[in-house]
Amino acid sequence: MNSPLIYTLSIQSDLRVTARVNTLKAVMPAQIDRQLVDELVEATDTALGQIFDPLGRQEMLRALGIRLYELLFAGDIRGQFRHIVQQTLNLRSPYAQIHLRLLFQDDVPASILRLPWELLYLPDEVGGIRLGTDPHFCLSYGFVNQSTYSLDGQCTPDELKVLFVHMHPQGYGAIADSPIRTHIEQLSSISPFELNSYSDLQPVVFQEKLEEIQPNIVHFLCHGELDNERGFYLLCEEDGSRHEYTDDSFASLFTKYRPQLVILHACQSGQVAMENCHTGGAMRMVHRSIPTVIAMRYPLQQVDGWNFFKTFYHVLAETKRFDIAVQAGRNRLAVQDHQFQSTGSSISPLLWMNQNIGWLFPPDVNDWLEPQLKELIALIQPGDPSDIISCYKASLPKLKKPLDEPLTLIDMLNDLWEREHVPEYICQFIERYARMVSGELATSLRQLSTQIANGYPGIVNLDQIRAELEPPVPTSPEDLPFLLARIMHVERKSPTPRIFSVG
Amino acid sequence: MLEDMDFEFSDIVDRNQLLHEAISIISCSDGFLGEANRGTCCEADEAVSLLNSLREETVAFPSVCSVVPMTEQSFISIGLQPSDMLRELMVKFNFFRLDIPMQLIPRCGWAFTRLKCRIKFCPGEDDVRNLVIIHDLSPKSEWQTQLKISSSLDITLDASLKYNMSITAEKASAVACATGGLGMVFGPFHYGFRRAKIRTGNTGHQLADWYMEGTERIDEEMVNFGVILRVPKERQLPIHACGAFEARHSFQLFTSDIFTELWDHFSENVKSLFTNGCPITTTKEWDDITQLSMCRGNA
Repeated sequence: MNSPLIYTLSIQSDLRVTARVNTLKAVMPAQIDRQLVDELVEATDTALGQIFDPLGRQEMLRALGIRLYELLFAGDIRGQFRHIVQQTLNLRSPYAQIHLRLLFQDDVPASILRLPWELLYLPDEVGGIRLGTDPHFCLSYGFVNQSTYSLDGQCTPDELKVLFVHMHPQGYGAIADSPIRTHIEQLSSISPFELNSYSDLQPVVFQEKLEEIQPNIVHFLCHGELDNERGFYLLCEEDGSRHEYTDDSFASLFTKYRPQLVILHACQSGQVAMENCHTGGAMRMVHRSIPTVIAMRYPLQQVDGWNFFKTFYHVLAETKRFDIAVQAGRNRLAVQDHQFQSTGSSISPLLWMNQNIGWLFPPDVNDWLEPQLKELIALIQPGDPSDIISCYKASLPKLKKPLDEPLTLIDMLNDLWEREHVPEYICQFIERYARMVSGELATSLRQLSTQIANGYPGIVNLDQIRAELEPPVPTSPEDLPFLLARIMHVERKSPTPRIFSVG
Repeated sequence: MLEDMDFEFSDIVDRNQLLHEAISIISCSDGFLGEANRGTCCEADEAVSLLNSLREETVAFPSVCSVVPMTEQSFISIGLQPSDMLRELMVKFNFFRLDIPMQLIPRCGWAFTRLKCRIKFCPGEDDVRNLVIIHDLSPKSEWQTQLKISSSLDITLDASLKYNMSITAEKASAVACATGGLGMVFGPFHYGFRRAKIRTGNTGHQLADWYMEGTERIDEEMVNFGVILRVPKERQLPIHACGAFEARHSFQLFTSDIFTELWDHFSENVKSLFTNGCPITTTKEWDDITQLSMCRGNA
């Protein structure tokens, strides 16, 4: 029963919101009230001014969370979401976890991005749940057109390199780095974490280390702040003095090498500038095509950062999922917020992801495939290449990079896997192809998609996929020349790990 | 040379470095990663102050030990006679009484509760005929019963140059050597660890070994270890010795909320430092512990 459901809310630049459950088509568009947005931005600023006052803080955050919920879940979306949540909480649904994705259009107003969606709170009659911290949920953000390619630092199950850089400029509040180091070092016994820790690196040296170590995760710990225009990080000069480095300068250090995850462990690194939604530490990294970014929306006490990342790394090592790990970290801070009456930092960490599910690395599907099925895959040869290419194209919501010689079924499965890490698309592809062939081959293909779907219950809902494929998707002959042309001109950058193999 | 002594210090590599790490974590914990400065947290300040004072603690061996040659004349001068056995041994051996006063400076108000000391004489020497022998040690395990009811001891040497003890009526801190009664009397010496457990070992060999654990605090600035050494008369070499010492506190004092809250964030080494009672260690080598060349004339 541990299967997630992806509930995506797409927010357009005109503040229209559409909801989508898994891959079902977007339904029930609703409109966000712009005036309410402005009021909420003001209310948030007021509320944050009182956040260090333990008296009434919880109540104040709850009230703000309910207003955010009423703003975002407008119209019919609210009823649908309530129904899903109630089913989940009552365990009447096969989905034990709901991944709430907020997808923003590139030119959405900055005020929308500045709102603390981590506070979203379901009113008591629905369950009284904070969506940003409750373990039944995973809250992450993304952009509708966020790119996924040019990733260099893809993790593998055997190697997980962490570059931990911490800055200690003189004359500024001391920063303790040892708790983070300790947590990561402890994990090396249960997960392939390899820690590379450096202090006070000059920007140029930092960039060199990026290229030299090629880390999968970059954890950057420093003082940070955001004024109305842009974000700053406090780095060190050679003599140890403070050096204000702008967020765009910092992001430019990642032009040559892009890791899978960048952690901006600094105050306000996740906040968006007042006037420009593309500024702020996290925004800069997202627009540099860093696939996953964790940042802090508000000022963060150091002990809260340690607690958050201790849980984050621990859950990451266990689940291999960024989104679950971030939610677990926020949950820990929320629990501590009640326990120790601390500063309410649980509203600070946020997660930007460019994919639906935050895999650290794709699990090996071969583990689930029965041997007979593997042999069968080896025997499958498409009779007509155009059929399978059409299926392949139709299975992808958007072709985000050139095709890499996907001439056989196995190649295409591998390519799909590498491309999206979402087995749902693979099942769509197989199901489509199964509809175009007949006999034993069709049966075998359906068995294969069932096998994969069983490995990802909740993410892959074959009933939904089959329902969407009714009537069968027609092949579009005019697409073929375009596709084949792209196949002929592709240049593979590096060898791709093959997830599907035969024999 | 310490490797030869089989002395197992706690796994504390660098005490001051670990204390610094703990101080850094506690003092940074309520600080922000931005413009906002650290708030005021009395508990954190107190904890930092406590740890800073621990950094100022010291333990040290004396650079020069107090050495008293014990001859037949020493007995006669106070109107006593050595035992027959001792007189027989004195034909072949010189005897020395060694006082090793350890200098302990614990944090004010928070004394040590466990001490471990080991001294090896003539390490690495294999000429058995010329090896020194530990004739007796002080304090010793047998005194434990008396220490259950009193913390002050009169230490005496009997006619066989063995340490004895009796309970003193009053506390006194002076370490003295006096005469009286039926034997030489050293003390009264206040050991300061009531109900202490004492384990002593290895007389008859070259390794002196003490372990003391007080259920009450050891708040003396000096703890004396005594050794009666038997040195072959034909020995010409100076007596080389090396010592290792470790003192610990009681862990119960680390139960404040700030330590509980931050415990998970300390490294294993820092946790080990605290759970082991923040041990402080010292080592020492003496090239000529009895200053034999100086004493030989007296002997």
